[in-house]
Amino acid sequence: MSVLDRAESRAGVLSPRAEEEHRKSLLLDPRPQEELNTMVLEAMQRTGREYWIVVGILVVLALGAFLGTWLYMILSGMGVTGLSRPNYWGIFIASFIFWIGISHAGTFISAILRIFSAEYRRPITRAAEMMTTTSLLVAASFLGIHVGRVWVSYWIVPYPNQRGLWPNYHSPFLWDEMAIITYLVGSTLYLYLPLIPDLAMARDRLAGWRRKLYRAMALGWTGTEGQWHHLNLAIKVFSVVIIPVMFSVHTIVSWDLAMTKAIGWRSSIFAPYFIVGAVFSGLSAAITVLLIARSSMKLHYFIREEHINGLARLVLIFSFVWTYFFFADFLTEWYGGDAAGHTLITLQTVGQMAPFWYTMLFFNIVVPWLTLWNGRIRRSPIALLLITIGINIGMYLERYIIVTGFLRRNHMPFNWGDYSPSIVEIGIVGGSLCTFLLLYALLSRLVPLIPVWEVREGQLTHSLRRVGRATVPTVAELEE
Amino acid sequence: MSEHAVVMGSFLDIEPSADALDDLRSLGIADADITVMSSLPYSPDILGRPHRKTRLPVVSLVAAVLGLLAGLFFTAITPYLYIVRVGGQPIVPVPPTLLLLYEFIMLFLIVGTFGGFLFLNHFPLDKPQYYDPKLNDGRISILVHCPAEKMPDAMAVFETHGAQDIHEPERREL
Repeated sequence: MSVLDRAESRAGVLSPRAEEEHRKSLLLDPRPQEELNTMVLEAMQRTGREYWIVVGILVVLALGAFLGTWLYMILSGMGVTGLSRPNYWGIFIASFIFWIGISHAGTFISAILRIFSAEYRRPITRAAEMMTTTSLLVAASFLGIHVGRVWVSYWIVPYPNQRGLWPNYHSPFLWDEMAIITYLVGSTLYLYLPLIPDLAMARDRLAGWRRKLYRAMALGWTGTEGQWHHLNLAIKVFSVVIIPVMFSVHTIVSWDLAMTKAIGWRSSIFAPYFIVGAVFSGLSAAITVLLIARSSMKLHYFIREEHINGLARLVLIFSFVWTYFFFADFLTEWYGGDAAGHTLITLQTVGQMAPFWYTMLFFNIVVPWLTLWNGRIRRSPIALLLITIGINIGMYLERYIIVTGFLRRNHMPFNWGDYSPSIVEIGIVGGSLCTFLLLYALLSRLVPLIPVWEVREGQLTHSLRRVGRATVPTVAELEE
Repeated sequence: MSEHAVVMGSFLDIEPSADALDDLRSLGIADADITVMSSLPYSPDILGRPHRKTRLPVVSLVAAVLGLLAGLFFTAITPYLYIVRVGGQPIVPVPPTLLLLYEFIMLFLIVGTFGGFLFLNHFPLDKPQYYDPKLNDGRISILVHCPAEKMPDAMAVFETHGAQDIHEPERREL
């Protein structure tokens, strides 16, 4: 602090430099709510040529690569994939697990950070929750893709059918069905509930088809005390309930593998390992999405260095935790001395899967550990974009290794087999990424991406206060 | 019999709103006849309003119990009606049943809480409402239902505390 700053600080005046430092924080840089509303609505309505070109490309890829290739597979049969004995699960299941993992970030950022009153969550919760809903929809589609005969998937619905069968609730697949339905319903409603006041704001300010849409979706919200009271209580209930549901979803997904007798899969550590991996990849994807949304929608006022920095710190922590679980799982298999288990380790360390394995370790451990401890890198959008995309490549490879790699070897060498995805599978998986991006791009122009009322609430509760010789931020409580 | 009047004023800040509410109460206007509308969730203590009781927790609890019963139906009753023998496991094994009961409870709890939120707020509101769209810009709107003879006093309270747009509102389409 300079002499001038110290003198002014003693006088009770906030020095310009100190004030500028504090104003870097969104919640200490308030603007009138009318201005915030205008900024968010303009960002939502702003499209432009580049946007429509990107959407057009995504539509073509989603329809062609995703739906078109899937239709081709339905008509031709699963033989067009690379699946064969013993590799009955391939990149469809790896992708399913990947997309379920991505969905965890929304719940983590929105629910867990809300419960722990991490104030920096305020402008980013909705973008994260939208990522949850869109990635869950893509993940759910992979169940239909994977079963092949998607036209008989209604057999999973519990009703007394003419075959006298009932869904087998002993099976982890049925647990999966229930968990994913619960999580999809829960996260969609959790996205919708806090959105209602912002939809009312949009209803009051816009015209045309948007006004009709938001009028219907706002349900007649008028902002009375009773409505706010019920909304806050409902959000609190959802915040608490959605967290164990989030944990249960990826636990059950891991049990699709861990409940089998396959080598490498039958591990009690899979449940927490998968959850940590899911949050790790989800947080990274959230940062990627936020950086792209911030740049394309000009949301620099709302999404600042502090938010990206906070999320990047969490990514580093989860990289540590993921490494711990990875090593625990690896060590257990290595130490066990089981010959079949050792063939898997050989496959990964020096065999066919080695390029994928080392790439995974590079992106998931080396890169985050070497970079994310540094505050300048954490605050650099370009660096973070590259690091987080790398982490998601690493985490996809982790699922690819676990699902397709571990099936290649088992206790009976005559039953070993290799797998490589066919062009059909690659098309569907690539198309699913385009579908996710397309859904997100469309939703971001239909729904206010920033929860204006939550940001404004945060700005009202934050102020600067003198404590001794320093001026520090303080937080009040507005809610009941 | 005195006529019934409705008057609305909006404030730019919390302090004058809270002061106006105190003065309205001192006029003998009951809290139930005053509605505060805002773009932010102010706690009742901030505006000096009574705390509301709500049945939403009860609705959530009832929904959770219904989820438990639905889960028991699907996982513990129907397997005995349509028996599928899985090697090494009883017809109704305990661990998977507990897992599914948990999922059913959570699903019903989530849907029930949302349904309760809609029901208790009477959503969707199709009929015209007393409403001030400017509250989205940060204003706090106070709507007062009072006997006609008290309306001038209520308006005076609004004026004293610097309210904007003091008027007798009409219900409007949202």
